[in-house]
Amino acid sequence: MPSQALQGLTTESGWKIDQIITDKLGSGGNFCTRYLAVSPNGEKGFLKAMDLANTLDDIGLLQSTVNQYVFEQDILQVCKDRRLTRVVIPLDAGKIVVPNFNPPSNIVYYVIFEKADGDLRKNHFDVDDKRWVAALKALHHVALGIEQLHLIGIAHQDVKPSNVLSFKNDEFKVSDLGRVVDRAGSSPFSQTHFPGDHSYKPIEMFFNVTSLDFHVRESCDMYMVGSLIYHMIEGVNINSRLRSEAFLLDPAINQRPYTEALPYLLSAYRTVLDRYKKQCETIFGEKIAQGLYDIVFEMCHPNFDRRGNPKLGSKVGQYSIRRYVSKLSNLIKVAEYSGI
Amino acid sequence: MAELLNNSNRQLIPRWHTSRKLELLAPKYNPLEQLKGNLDDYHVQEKLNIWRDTKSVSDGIELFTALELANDNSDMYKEVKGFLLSEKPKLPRAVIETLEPRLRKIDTSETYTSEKHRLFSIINTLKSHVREFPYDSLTWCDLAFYYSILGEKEKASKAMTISYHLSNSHPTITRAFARMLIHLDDPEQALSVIKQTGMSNSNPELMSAEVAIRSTFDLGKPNISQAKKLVDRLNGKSNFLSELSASIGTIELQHGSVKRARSYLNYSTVSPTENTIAQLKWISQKLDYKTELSNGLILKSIEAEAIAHYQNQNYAGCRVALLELHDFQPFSKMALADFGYISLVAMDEPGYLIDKYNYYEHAVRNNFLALNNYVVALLEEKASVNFDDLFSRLKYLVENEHDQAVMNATLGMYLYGVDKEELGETLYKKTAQYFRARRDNTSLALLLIHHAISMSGTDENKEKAIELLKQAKYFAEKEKKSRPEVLDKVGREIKKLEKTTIN
Repeated sequence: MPSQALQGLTTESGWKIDQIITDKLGSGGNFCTRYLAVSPNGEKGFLKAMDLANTLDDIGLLQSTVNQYVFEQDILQVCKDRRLTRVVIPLDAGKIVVPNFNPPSNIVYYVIFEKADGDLRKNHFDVDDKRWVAALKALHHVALGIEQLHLIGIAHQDVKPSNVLSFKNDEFKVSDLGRVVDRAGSSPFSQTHFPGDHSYKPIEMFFNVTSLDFHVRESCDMYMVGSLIYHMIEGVNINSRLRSEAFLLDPAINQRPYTEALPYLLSAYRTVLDRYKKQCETIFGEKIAQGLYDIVFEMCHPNFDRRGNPKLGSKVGQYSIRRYVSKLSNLIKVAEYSGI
Repeated sequence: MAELLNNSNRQLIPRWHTSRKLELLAPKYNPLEQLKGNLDDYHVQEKLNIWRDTKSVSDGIELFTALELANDNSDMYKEVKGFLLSEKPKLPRAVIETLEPRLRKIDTSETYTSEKHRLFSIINTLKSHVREFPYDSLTWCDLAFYYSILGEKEKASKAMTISYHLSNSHPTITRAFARMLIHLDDPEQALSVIKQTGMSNSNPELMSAEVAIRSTFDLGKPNISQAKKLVDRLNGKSNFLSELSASIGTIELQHGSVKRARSYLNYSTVSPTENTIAQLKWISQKLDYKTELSNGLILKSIEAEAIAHYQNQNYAGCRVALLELHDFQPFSKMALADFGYISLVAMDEPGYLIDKYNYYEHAVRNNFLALNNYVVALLEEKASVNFDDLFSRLKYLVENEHDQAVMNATLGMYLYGVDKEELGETLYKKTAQYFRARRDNTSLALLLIHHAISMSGTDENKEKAIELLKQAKYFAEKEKKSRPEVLDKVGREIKKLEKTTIN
């Protein structure tokens, strides 16, 4: 395929395309091949090449793939223009003509991102001696990244460990804006209830409770950030634990509507969070554990009406990530002060 | 007396179990069919490729959880689960809990504990849970359950009301609430909470409860045609329809429509609850209609076992089953009362009764019939206890005229024992009149038996006692089909008395 034949080529902007990446870092996205690339001034980047060869026989698929690509470029450009510090933004983007292939399949669109050291899987989950302050920083940076996106009217919709990239000095950024939905409704996924990885979607969506409302999108992001916090501590995503615990209470839970399933989910949630809190206490001590418990409790509440901070009375306030950015920031200070 | 064992109109009044014992509601059978999710939505192929490439634990967990959440049970799922289990020492606790889910229970007994100190400890734990997590309606409901076991009616009602309002009229909690209200002798209110949900015409679990309560307590005609429509409309969700189908079948049978009953009773066996199984056994015993059950079911209903033992006059087996049934629904009074009745009337074993009732002390203290049985057993055993306390407790538990009459008879027995025969005789006679006026032959026969036993202590009264036993026999014979144990008891007492007379 053309996208797999880029090694050795140079883009119009001067980036030299180097070796193909086969490891799992930064995986994701449809029809993509990944490369290392080097700029004229020696800066290393990560090139994501989109292949249209497989879509040429299906005009609808071709169109939607191109639309997705164009939309992602637009969004990335907005992020770049707005200088979002906690979102992986492109260093360059464009198209390259691949020799030895016939038009139109010889055109490969690409985006070059700053090169990450790893992602949360590599930096945290695959490591035996966990660096917990760095983990808290990662969570803080993710929350901040999602907040930055929300402030410009974008919901990420695919927050998960592989989409959190790590850089030097324990800096983390949210990556993969390929599934985002914007408030204006121009995203190719605007009519998709949940465009991200379904393993991470809010629990009510497993019971077909969905909405295209942008506040609900923000609430989804909130849930996924909360789930990521739980995941970092417990090693497994919260949906999986909630599901298995709720199944023990009612094996027919999947056949119930959400309102009927909710009491079982809430009771399971209590059990799951109780054990999570104990794990937090083991790692961080009581004070930070309580903070981490409170954050996840609010962000992942199975009753979406109670998710976030419902006391604020408006959906804007209820699903604002700001509250959790601040809380995580405070917890990092406590952790550093406590010498964790 | 033997109300549970001799129930002439059993309906499917909802069972009530705690949220950690809901498996008691249904027998174990093949797991429910789950709808499989679209694996592409869960990025399964990508996760599989990564895991195949790295074979790392974290990638294995990622793939496993995706498959689990998509309800996928394929070979791939088994492979990755097997891999993770082989890496168990490296896995975080939460992952192991996902791989090998196990419900942790505060009440670790097979059904429910009856030990008082355990009950208090469980209540304290549940209270701490609701303090920390006040929106957990199931735990509020569980708290009501354990308060009910202790006879703490007000606390139970308060906890249950909170649960009901928090759960937004959830069918399981509404059914539990209704069941609790029935035990508080308020079936009208039980019906009312079901109707208040506004879902009793659309939810089969609620409709089944409504039909059962209306039929049992004569609270208006149940809407059977609506119930049938609901069964037809939800055809396929058999695990929610079992009790409603069995309810319809029962009522059709009671109206003599065997043909119409058949299909509903058959459908009730597709995914039957324990209550359905008890109902089908009761139907086969009382309405003489047998329903074939599906293969592969573990067909156990303690209630059905107790009734079957009673019908077969296997009283020892019946007594064991009744205690099991009490442990199974410990807030219910009938099993413990019937246990006492069987021990005293069918088996002449007051000592055994005293021993067991001492173990269930808190339940007996809140159960008029059980406490009365206990007092009778103590009197029969001529035990040295403070009867004043026991009678004042009995008096406190009296709820109706019948209870008062039963207590008067027991008081008569006591008075004979403390040499106040005249007073005792007056009470016995007064109570006999009450039972006679109500044509309660069984109670009357039992009263006469006990009167005879009470007065048989002296030679001059033996003839009078035999005369009373003959009267008792007359009334017991009238009920010998449904209560053979009473007639047997009269026979044994006559023999005993005749034997001592000869000696």
